[in-house]
Amino acid sequence: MILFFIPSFNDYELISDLVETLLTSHTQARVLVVDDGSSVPISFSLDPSLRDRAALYRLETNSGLGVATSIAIDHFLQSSFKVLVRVDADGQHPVSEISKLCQPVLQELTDIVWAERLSDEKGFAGSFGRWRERTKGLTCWLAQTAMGCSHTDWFSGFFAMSRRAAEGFQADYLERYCEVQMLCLAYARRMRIETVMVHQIDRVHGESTIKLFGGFMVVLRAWLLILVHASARERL
Amino acid sequence: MIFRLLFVLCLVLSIFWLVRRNYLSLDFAWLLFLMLAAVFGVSLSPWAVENLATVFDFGMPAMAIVALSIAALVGICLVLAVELTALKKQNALLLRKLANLELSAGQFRDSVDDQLPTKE
Repeated sequence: MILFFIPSFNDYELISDLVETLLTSHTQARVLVVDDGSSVPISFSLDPSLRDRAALYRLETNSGLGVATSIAIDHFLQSSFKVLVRVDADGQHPVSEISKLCQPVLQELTDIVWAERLSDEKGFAGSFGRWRERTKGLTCWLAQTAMGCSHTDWFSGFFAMSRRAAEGFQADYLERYCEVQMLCLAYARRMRIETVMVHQIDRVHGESTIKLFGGFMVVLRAWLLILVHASARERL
Repeated sequence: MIFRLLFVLCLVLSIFWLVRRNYLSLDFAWLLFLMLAAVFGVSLSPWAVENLATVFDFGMPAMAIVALSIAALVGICLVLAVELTALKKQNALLLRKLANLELSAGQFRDSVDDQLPTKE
């Protein structure tokens, strides 16, 4: 019923536990891990009873999150699953909150459920602190002004989507960091989008693939996408 | 000045349209924007253009020829960026098709079995 998609690039410490937790807490689910060209191929151990519900696909070179997401979408549409949920391999997305994302999609109340990340202690979680918060704020303001949508966390990669939404994205070429692109396309195509607040867990292992320059480029791409969709007069 | 602004505006709108239609990737779009900004900035200063012409040993060409050359260069860069984006898209499409085939054929199961040792 649910397909969990875990994109991973050099994030392997928590994969085994994460896959096992996902499969034991959702008995009708399957997990697809896409190794996006990690320098050391990702592998994980699983309980024998769970092995037939987990799949691992490795891309030989780092092709970006967009390609990995498109692979998951293609696989999702070829199977009979009802919901596709993306969960990050770094363990920052709480498994306990997944039902909040899945339920509205399973009940066909919405096409996409997007998680907006919260952390009790530090406000919005993030490694670049105040600058990251300001950038997020500016992005929200730009999106509100240009597109008229009030979404507040454009960079969250924790979401669930229905088959209808996946069909909408199937023909698209998704870019390297595709979260903002997917949201812009979803808003432009008038998909039903619901947001839920989730408490993000602080990173314990590994490090983010987005460094300072990468983060700068992600933000520039996001602003360009928002302006492009606003310029097409697809205001909400 | 008006023609310069019109040229930049036309290019910016073209880039927006190309990004919207998925003909131009976001990275190339930003590179083109940077290039446009640099060209526009240099064009505001005849002194900078003369110095550049001296550095590259172009002699002292007429400004009209410099403007046309720059416009042509920017145009060529735009076309190249669109072609490279098409290649990236083709590559992504091939990777997706390959993954789709492997996943649907169940070949991945063997490789998973190889890579997933059973927990003791």
